[in-house]
Amino acid sequence: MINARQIAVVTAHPDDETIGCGAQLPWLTGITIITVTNGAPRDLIDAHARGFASAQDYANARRTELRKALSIADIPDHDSIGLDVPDQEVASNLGASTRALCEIFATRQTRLVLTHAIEGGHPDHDAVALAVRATVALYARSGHKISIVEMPYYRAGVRGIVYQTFVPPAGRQIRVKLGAWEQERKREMLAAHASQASVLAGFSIVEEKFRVAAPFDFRTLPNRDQLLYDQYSSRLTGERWLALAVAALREFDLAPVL
Amino acid sequence: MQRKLDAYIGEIARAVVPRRVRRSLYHAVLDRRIERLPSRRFIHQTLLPLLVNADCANLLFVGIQGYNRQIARTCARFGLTLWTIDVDPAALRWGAPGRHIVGDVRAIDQQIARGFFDATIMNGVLGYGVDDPEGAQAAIRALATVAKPNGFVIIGWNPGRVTDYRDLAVVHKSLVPVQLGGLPTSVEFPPDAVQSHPHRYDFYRVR
Repeated sequence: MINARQIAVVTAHPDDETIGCGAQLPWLTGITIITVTNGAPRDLIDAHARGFASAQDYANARRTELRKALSIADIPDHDSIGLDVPDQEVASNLGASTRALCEIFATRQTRLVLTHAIEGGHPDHDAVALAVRATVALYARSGHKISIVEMPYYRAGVRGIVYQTFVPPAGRQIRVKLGAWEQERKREMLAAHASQASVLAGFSIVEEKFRVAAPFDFRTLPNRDQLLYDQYSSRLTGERWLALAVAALREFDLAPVL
Repeated sequence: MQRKLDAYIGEIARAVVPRRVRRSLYHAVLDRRIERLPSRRFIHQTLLPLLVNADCANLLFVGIQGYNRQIARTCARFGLTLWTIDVDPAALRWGAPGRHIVGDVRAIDQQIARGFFDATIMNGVLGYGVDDPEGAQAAIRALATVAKPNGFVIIGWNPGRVTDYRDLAVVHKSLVPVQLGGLPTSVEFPPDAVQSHPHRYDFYRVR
């Protein structure tokens, strides 16, 4: 067991914590899990597909699932914090998300954050990565150092979508091969997110990957301009993402490279 | 002369290019060939626009592979919300991000709420994974369940290659042949460079 009181996992959706580092969580006592969205888009498409009448019902179900998943990793409710931003809308709430993270990091004296890699896969993932980096940069002004470790989820590849692989050059990454016990825990945690079971079935439970976050220029698009959200969804374009990212950094008077 | 040259190039390629790369290139070329076939272009150029005109918003596409990966982009362009399902975990890379189901179409009604989809397209699945009449019956029943009442079920298949599914009880019980836009109740494409059997699309509405 590791005393992880000063470590936080900041991810976009209930289930991202399990995909990214679920197998590590049982070892990290006192870790804080921060879930930025409620996992329920306002447009109700996903809610209705899964048989929920309203976004709130869907969000409640996802919160319950998250609680169940975290209980498998022995993480108590009081160490799990939800910012309740609607799914798909973190990019439009970068300022509020950053301020909320600042408050939590201060209260919990966070020194290390595990979060999404910037990969152009899901708009909320990139937006959470930006909010974390902005928060860390704001802390750096007062002389406090917080380290960021990032985790890959999915992004556009040369042939189709690439899962759980960093955007090249991957640099120095830590690949943690999961043992039988860890795989079993991770499988249970994924199963706890029952409403997402069909989607989560594709994610690997064999290993988890981490690397120290390198500076990123938020005036440029991730993944060599190959954005899944640009290609597959009309909710957010690359152009809009750049505008929102630059505006958020300007709001906090931060440099575009974080 | 050309054949000799091709064989020579093939030999060099086998000697120099690793097997994994060769296989990947082969699939990439095959995918391109298939996606250019008239029977596949029909989906993008005719079928999807007609579904949009028929006020469809949520579409399920059953059986996704490299050769129909462009469907996601076409759907995005038309404002259709695409869901994909394939039993092959490797097909995940071609599926709709966040809305791809790794699973069996015969059990889709256990994953998705009844009456959710405005349209479902099952193309090239019968005879290519769902091979027996019982499987076809279960797949069509599941599709009719997750499609809205009066929603579309479109089945693409190869007459002559697979058993004719149209006589199955579930087809008569759950589906009604329908004309989509200006099209008849079915459209058939002749055999082509890739497939030695015709490719046919049948259009239905759920009863």
